[in-house]
Parts: sequence; structure tokens; C-alpha cells
Amino acid sequence: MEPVLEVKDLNISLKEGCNTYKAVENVSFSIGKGQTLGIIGESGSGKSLTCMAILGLLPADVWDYDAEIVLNGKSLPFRDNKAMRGYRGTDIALIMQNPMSAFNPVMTIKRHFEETLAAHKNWNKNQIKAAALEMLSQMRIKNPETVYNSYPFQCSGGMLQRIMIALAVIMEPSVLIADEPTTALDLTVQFEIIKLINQMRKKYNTSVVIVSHDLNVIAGIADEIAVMYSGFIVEQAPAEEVLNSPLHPYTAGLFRSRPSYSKERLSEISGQPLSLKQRNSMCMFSERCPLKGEGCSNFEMLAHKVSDDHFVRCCAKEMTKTSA
Amino acid sequence: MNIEKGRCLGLVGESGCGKSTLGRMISGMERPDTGSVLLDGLDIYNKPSREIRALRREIQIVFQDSMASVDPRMNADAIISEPLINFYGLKGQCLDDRVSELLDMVCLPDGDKTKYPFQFSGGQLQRVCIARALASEPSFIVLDEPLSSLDVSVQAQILNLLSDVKKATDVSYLLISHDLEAVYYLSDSICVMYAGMVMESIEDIGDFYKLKHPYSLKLLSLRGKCGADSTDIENVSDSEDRIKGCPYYSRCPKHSEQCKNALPSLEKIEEGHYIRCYNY
Repeated sequence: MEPVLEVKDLNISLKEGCNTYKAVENVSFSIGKGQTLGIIGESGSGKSLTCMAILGLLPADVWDYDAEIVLNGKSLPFRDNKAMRGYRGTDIALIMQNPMSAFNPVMTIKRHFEETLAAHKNWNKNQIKAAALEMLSQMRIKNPETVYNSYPFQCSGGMLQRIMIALAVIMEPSVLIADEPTTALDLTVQFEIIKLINQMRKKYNTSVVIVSHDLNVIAGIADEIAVMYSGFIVEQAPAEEVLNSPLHPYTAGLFRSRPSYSKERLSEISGQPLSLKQRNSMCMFSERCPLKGEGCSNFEMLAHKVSDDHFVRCCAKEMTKTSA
Repeated sequence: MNIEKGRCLGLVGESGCGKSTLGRMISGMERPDTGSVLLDGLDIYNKPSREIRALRREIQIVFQDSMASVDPRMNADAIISEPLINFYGLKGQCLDDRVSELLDMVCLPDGDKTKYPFQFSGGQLQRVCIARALASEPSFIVLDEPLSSLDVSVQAQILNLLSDVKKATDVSYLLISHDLEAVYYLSDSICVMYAGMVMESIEDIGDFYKLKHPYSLKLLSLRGKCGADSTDIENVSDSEDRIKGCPYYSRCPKHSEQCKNALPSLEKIEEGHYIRCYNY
């Protein structure tokens, strides 16, 4: 299948004075039409940076980055802010983490829709209103007319997140990036939002990149899962495979550390991820790894293919594979 | 509700249901209109404010948003020292040692003392907040959604940490959370709140599977499986219709006429199990 979005060798580094620190290294992935890629990882692992890089939203004076990003067969001019404007919102849309701060507090929902649509389409206010109301009722908002004329502070977090999805999908983008769309929301609301994103994906055949640290969210929606750790995708495979037989010790540890209605002591992944400045040529996870061996200290995080669509960056796995 | 020494009460419910307000009332930050909060048998609101101040040492709180609960211009050392200076008058080497000890308790390196909040990740800062709460050696800690801003691997560490601290110091917790699995792990009893009311409470967490209230069941069914494929998406509106009866009426799958007209009372249905519902 022809991929809709393809990211090849994305490298991002932080510029600080005359030093640079690598934050994201060799991230490559592709998403087919209507597919969902879930990215799991802890804070600081580079999930959000990856998303922002795709949208060309990283300020060039702080971040130095290089990649080839291909959207629908065309290379994205992510360095050119002006050219990127034509893509943002129309081809790639973003759903942000905190709906409360993503809206302009002094603009009504109506103005938000008008602003977005006026930038990309030559519609008059009535057309915009009709489209917006239609979209809002698809988001299962009972009284779209009232909501349309209200200010962000008059809406609850769950409702704002629905409005944000409406704003994102109203241009029928080919890629929807959802950066922790449910983190700021209630449990009961979280799943409604996931269901809505999934419904919109099916309806418009949109490809979705969903970023989260909540395993339940990712497990419910993703076709493929990429696990990020310290700037690397350490394991990537179809969702079923990652969830049922995780190979990387980090992935496995992550699943074990979830409480699951038992009083038994949780098995935790001890320690903390390396900070940007501590990263060196050894395996990023080796300090916390239960399978740490001799090979880890000069392991260059090479990808090891387990099968056609499953790879792991771990030397312990490589060893077991070669000896087997 | 009452919480015994060295035990943890889990308080579950969605935002706006009054969990945090309850937590704030218990910790002495919000005066209740009626009713009272007793700590070791003493009403914490029926006292001169000077004594309430002393009580702050006994009751500490850990907030959800760690970044908003610290002064951005104070470093970790200053944040953790503050209660030590205020309540114990520690200074010099003593103070320094105690801060190191507390940092070690929450698994942060000693070098983090000089760091400012913006230099920490959410999880690390939450540890600083926990260290600050532990600094005054309280007998009771209100944990207001302490996990929701943290990563999964860090959540496990914090949960284990909280559980260790509870065993070591005999402190009592009120754990406010919407994560039922975490509540089950840490708590000894559980309370389900909805729209400002306790809907169901169970005194022994071992009876967890006896939860019966339709709302509790809904919460239970959500965890563990996300069910993105189902299409039964709830409608939201900007104003809920206020009715005299049960506040869960409009969302309840088991609602009847009775629920609409009168609010059910919190009934005891078996030893240590209370429920507010007609049709459980």
C-alpha cells in the first residue's frame, strides 16, 4: 500500500551555545491510508518533538533538524514556514494535549472556525457556520448552535476537545496528528474522544498518528505501535504483536509496571531516562535494563529486524536471535 | 467517611464531582458550610487560626499539577526546606542532610537540589512535591490525582514509593484518582463520588468486585479496554438538566421513574458496603 506519510531518518538536536545535543535520532516510519500509528514513550523521549517536526513547528534557532518527510508522494518543505502554512490544517492537522490552552480565550468558537476556514477556503460566513454546525453535531454535541456562539471558558474540557477534533477534521486532512489527546481529560471522557477520533478516521479515511503514554489508549486504537525511548524508536510492530509479545525489555517492563487489580508489588523500571546531555554511544536503556549484558556498553542502537514488520533496537535480543 | 491510621481511602469520580473540593476541605483549605472534619478527634475548623496553622504539619497535600504547585523561582532545595524551616526550625548542616534524605526517599539524585522547577520533568517534579509533603512528617496526606501527570513507568515507581512510605511511617492517605487500578493497588477502602455525592463505598478493598452502582460499573468497564470500535458515543451538552432526583439519572442505563423524582439515600446493603441507588 502506498504510504500517505513517510518520515525518513528524522534527527533532531537541541542547540545550546556551541554544543548540540541529540534529542531524536533516526526516527523513520510510514503510515498507510486510514491507518493509525500509536507512539508510546515517556516524557522527554521525543514523541512530541517528532510530531512538531512533521508540522515544521520547531523554532529553527533552538532545534536543528534534518529529515525527509514525504506526504502523498511529495516532499514536505518543513523548513519553509510560509510554504508549510499551506499544509498545516489542510493536509496535516493537529489535536493538542490541553484543550483549555489550545483555544484563544477571547475568541468565540465561531471565530475559531471562521479563522481556520477563511485561511484555507473561500467560504462566506453562512457556509462556514453550516459546515461547523454539521461537524459539531457529528461530534455528538447536543446543542451545536449554543456552543458555536460560546467562549472556550464556557465549555468543559471534554467538549473543547471535541471542538478541537471538529476544527482539525473539518478540512478533511490526510494526516491527523493527535499529541496526547486524552491526557488532560477524565477517564469517562477519554474513551469518548478516542471513539470519536476513530470514527472520524473511518469516515474520512484519514491516517492518524496518536501519541500517548497511556497504554490503554494506544491499545484501543492503533494498528501499529512504535515505542520511543530517549529519542529512538526502540520497538515497532503491528499493535497485536507489541501488546502480546513485546520483545524490547523497555516495552515489556512498561506493560508489567501497570497495576492490574492486584495488591502485588508493581514491578517498576528502576532509575530514570538519561537526560539529553548524558546521552552517549551506549545503549540508552542499558542503565535501567534487566537484561543488561556486556554488549550494551557500545551498542549503537541498531535496528534488528525480527520479522518484516517488527524491529527492535536491543543487543540482548540480537544475541538470543543469533545463538538460536 | 473515616480513614483509620495507616490506611488509605481511594476516592474515585470524574472531574467536577467534588473529589478535589473534598480533599481541600479535609486539608483545611476550604471551609465546609456544614459538617466537620475531625483529625485525631479534634475539629480542624473549630479552632483559632494559629492552631490550624500547626495542624498543617499533620495534614499535607500533593497536587495533580506539580508545576503549578511550586514556586518557579525556588529551587528544589528551597522547596523542600521550606516546611523543615517553618515547622522544625532546622538550619545549616541538619537542614541539608534532611533535604538529601528526603530526596533520596523519592529516588532523586542529590545533585537535583540546585535545579529549578523548569529543569525537572513532570515526574521528577512530582517527586519533589512528595518529598515536600513528607518533610513535615505528617500523619495524613491528601493525594490529589498524584499520578495523572506522570508516565506509566514513573507511575509504578510513585505507587511503590507511596506504598513503602505508608508502611514505613504509618501515614494515612486519601487518594483521589480516576485510575481504578491504581486506587485498587494502594487503597484499603474505596469511595465512588458523582455530582458531589458519595454513590457507593466499600470499606474493604477485597470486596472490590462487589461494586454494584451503575456508575461504578461504568467506571469499571472503561478500564483495561478502550473499545474504540464501538459507536455508542455519549452526547454532551453545555448545560445538564437539573432534576430533583438522582444526579446520575440522565446517564444511567437502569434509571426508572422513581429515580427522577427522589434522591436515593446512602443505604447500607451489607457490612461495610454502602450504596446510593434504587435499582442496583
